[in-house]
Amino acid sequence: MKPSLQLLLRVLVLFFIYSCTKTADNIKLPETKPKLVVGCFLSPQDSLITLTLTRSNPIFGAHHNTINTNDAVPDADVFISDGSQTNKLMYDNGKYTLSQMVLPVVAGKIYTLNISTPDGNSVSATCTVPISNAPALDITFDTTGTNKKIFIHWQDIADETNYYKFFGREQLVNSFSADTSYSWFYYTVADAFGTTGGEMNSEKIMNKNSLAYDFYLLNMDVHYFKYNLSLEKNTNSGLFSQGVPLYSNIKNGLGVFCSLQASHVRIP
Amino acid sequence: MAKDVSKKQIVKYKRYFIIILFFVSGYIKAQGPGLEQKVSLDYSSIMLGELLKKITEQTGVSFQYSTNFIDLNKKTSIHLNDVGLKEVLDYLQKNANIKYTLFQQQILLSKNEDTKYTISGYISEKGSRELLIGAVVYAPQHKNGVVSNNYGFYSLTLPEQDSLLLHYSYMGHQTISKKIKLDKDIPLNIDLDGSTDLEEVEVVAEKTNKLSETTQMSTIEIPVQQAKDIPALLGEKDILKVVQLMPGIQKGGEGSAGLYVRGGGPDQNLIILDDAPVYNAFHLFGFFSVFNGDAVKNVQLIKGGFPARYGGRLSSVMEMNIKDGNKEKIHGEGGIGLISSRLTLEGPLCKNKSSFLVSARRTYIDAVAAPIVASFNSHKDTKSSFGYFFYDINTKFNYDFSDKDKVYLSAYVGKDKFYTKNKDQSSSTDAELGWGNVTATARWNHLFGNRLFSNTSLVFTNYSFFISLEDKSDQETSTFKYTSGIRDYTLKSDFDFSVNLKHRIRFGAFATSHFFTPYAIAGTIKNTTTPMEKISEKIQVFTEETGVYIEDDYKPFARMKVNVGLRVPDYSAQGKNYFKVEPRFSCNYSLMRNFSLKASYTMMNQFVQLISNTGIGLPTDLWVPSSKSLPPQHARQVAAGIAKDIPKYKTILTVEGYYKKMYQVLNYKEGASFYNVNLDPDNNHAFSWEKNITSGRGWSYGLELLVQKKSGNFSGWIAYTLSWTQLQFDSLNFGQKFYAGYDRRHNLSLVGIYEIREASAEKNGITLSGTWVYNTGNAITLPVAAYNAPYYLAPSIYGGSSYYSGTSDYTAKNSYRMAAYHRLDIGIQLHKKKKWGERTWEISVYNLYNRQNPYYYFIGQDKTGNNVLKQQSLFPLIPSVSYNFKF
Repeated sequence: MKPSLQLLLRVLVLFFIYSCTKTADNIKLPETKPKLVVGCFLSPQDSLITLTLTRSNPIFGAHHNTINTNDAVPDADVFISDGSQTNKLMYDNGKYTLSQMVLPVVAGKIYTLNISTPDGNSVSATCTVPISNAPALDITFDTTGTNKKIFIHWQDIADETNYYKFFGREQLVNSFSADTSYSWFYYTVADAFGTTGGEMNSEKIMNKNSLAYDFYLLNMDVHYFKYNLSLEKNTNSGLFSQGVPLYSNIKNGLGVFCSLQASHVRIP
Repeated sequence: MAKDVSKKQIVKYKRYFIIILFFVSGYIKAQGPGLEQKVSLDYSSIMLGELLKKITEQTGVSFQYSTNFIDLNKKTSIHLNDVGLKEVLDYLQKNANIKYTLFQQQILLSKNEDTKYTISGYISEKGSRELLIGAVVYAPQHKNGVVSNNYGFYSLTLPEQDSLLLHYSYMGHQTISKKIKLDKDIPLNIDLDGSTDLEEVEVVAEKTNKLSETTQMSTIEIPVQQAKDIPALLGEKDILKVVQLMPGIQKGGEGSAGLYVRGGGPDQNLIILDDAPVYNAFHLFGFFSVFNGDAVKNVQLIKGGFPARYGGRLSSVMEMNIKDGNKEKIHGEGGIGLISSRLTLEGPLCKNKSSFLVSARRTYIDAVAAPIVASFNSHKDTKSSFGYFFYDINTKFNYDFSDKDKVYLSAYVGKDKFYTKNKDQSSSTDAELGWGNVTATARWNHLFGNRLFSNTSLVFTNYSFFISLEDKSDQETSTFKYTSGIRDYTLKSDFDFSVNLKHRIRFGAFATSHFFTPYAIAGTIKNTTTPMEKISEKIQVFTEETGVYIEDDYKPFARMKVNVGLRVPDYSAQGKNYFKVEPRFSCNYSLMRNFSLKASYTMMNQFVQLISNTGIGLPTDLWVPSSKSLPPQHARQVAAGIAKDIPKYKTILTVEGYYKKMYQVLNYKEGASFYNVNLDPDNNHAFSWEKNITSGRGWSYGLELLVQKKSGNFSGWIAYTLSWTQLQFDSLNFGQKFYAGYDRRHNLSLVGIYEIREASAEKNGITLSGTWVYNTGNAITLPVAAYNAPYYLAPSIYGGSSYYSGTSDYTAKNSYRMAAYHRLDIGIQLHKKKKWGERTWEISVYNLYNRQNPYYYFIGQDKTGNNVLKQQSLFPLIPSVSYNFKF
């Protein structure tokens, strides 16, 4: 083979093995600063108002091991107002809390959140507590088949648009160690229902050897509904699905400031 | 010489025009007192001029006429004694075809235009008798003409004339001029010679179907030969990829043959091969289209201003016709390329009556790789093999029973298959994934009289996708197969009625039955403890689509042509009926010679929809019907622009603006995809496509520019598109509008083909070609930050809330842009005439300057462990070589 031809072939081969992956240096990356991430779920059924506050971590430029931290922001000023009084939440052990003895969460009321941090960030949000408590759950079992089936039933609240979420856990016994453990399960959030009310039924196959169950039904406000829906999609992305942004009602921030009413059943 | 003739014609025509103006300004039906004068005429044979003189002598009445239309030498016989002048004139009107009008005491004579005759026939290529679609028949004396239809048929109805001049022309063919005495209906089949020399090309350019003279706008014609000359990825010529180089048409991802026309999705294109819709036009995940250029006669893509005869998709109609097959001699064409080889054979079965065409292509990556894979396995316990291939076969057969009845049968079969086999001593696993189309069309052309052409087609098309698994071991044997697909049966009749020079009416009716199988699984399992168990589940949906249409090519004024039409489809599915009315309108106003303004308005509906969340032509994309909960997609489009022919340079220039609004367009809901659609654990009847998709609206508008030179030594085009495409879905992006992923602001293609030298026995012919493309990068969503998303838990257990870790904060949907895409491909073809025919060596280079265009982005780490955005690109510089032959 002529040397020039050999050279040509080598050049061609070099082109082929030249990697097709490289750092994308020809597009301008979004410049992102950390945002405050709020988690606050107001419920008249709880005794405390609890708020979590963390920061998002910009992906680009950061070291890959430093993202996804749970570090709470401890030094923020957090205020919740019900329109007539404004109260500060106190930081304690990773959470900001306020007793409902001081600021009760009342059905139908509008609450406003304002947070500011020493570094000059501030976020705010508003939500309205659902008017009605979550309907009572009616749970029945069917153990005739090979599986244990449970039937979940509740009566929709008439004359309201409601957003429900059902979840629960079953207590299992480890067959080797006899320890007990809990297994959680969730149901997809029901779609927005009309104002007519009506019955809602669902069916689920359970472990036959469970010792005990806890069931919860949430009657959520629209913010939690949208947030929860996007959260379920976000954690459910397939290979070819695109990234799903999470809903947030926090102005200048992330997370959710929302409200719900909950009903709970423990069996047995 | 030809130019002199046409000048004379123009002068004559002007005179004629003046006479017409006279009529318009003072039209009074002759009934003045002069007409009562008595005349006696008794001649067995007298020339008209002489006869008129005699009348003048007897009555003193003078006649005005143009010798262009009144033949004074024409002989007639007359035997009328002592009758009124009116009776004489009536006699002449009846027997000599002369119309008379009284105008200011003079009698104006003109030709009686009420007598009309029709010239009709088929236009084909000399040597092969291949029928030519879109050939022009032009009558210069009438400044008007017609275009042959999809079956090469034309029909032209004109007033009686002693010397009618007709030009027959077709791009790249010699023009034939015929002088005809039109005094009866004339059947006239014409063969045009495709082997032109330069001088004749000049004539052709002057006479071919001028863009500035048709009402049809937003239409792209791809000369098949140009498509074959343009360099291609791995040397695989691909018509769809050539179409992507035209304005208003965007490609999918790198190397993909998918089409996004004026902001429409890849499902909104109706791709018809010999009347049969092809549902999946792609091989190998969209890198190649299923159309083999050797078998294709013509390609036309309409992206707006749709005539009423087309419908069923929102954004484009791409019509392809397979060659009929050479009727005179056996002819072959083929090629050997890097990944596939192809062969086309055509020839007469019964000379000038019947012909056939068979064209086939197959890849051989699997065959080449097999020994290599085998050598890897030679010393292992587990033998593995894998492979991939695709093939396609086109066949066509036709038979001419007479000039009134012709029958065409055509079929297409194509398939893609991936397979793997694993085998060890105790077990084996076979897995396959494949998809394919089958289409078959039977067509019958029938001519009623010589002005009404009809075609009736019976069409079958089937697309199917499957995944199959077979596991065998000593203990257990199991099989599983998933299939999805769509099957259509269509019966349609189309009529083409050439009424006169002002009207050409097309009408027709169609009925289609769609059988959708969005989901079918079948499996068996058998093991040592249990007997054979079978599972089988299938969802099938049957829908019907019927409709009628009518359209008229109408020329109300000399400068204006319009196409008005109405299409009325009716669709029923699962008890729900959709009845739609789609008005269509397009017009052409000629501002000056070779320069016109065009405008159009169309309304379209689409009843079958593709669910795809990838847009890269994966076979997993699923066709589903419109239903109760999924109303049909709907679009309205207006377009306006200019068309300019520059015959001197055989070049056309078009500039068009369009605005399109789309309703009920589909998208997967956020987070849903093919995979979790089928594997939803909470639902045993897992498949419900309606749950996983959402419908919304789309807006697209833009400006397109095309300068195209279709023939000559140097040909090619410049295409530029400036466009915007936005979508809005209530359940995506929190209901906010966003730019579609394929919204690309600028799109530029430069295509050049230069034939340096024609091939001869001694010397190689050389053709150089090159394309350069540039487009704005795709719109994408980027993750910008990570955080832990809180959610509510029972307060008694976890204190009220917990976290989902590792969720991402994204930019607004599709608010970021990938880097711009650009690429240069070049090719050289060396042709040589051989004793047996012609051979061509082609060497081409894809992506000459090795641009690393991003295919997708991902988050990776740099050397220090910091996160950076990385890009994966697909095709670096890729040289290829192929050998092609013709005989």
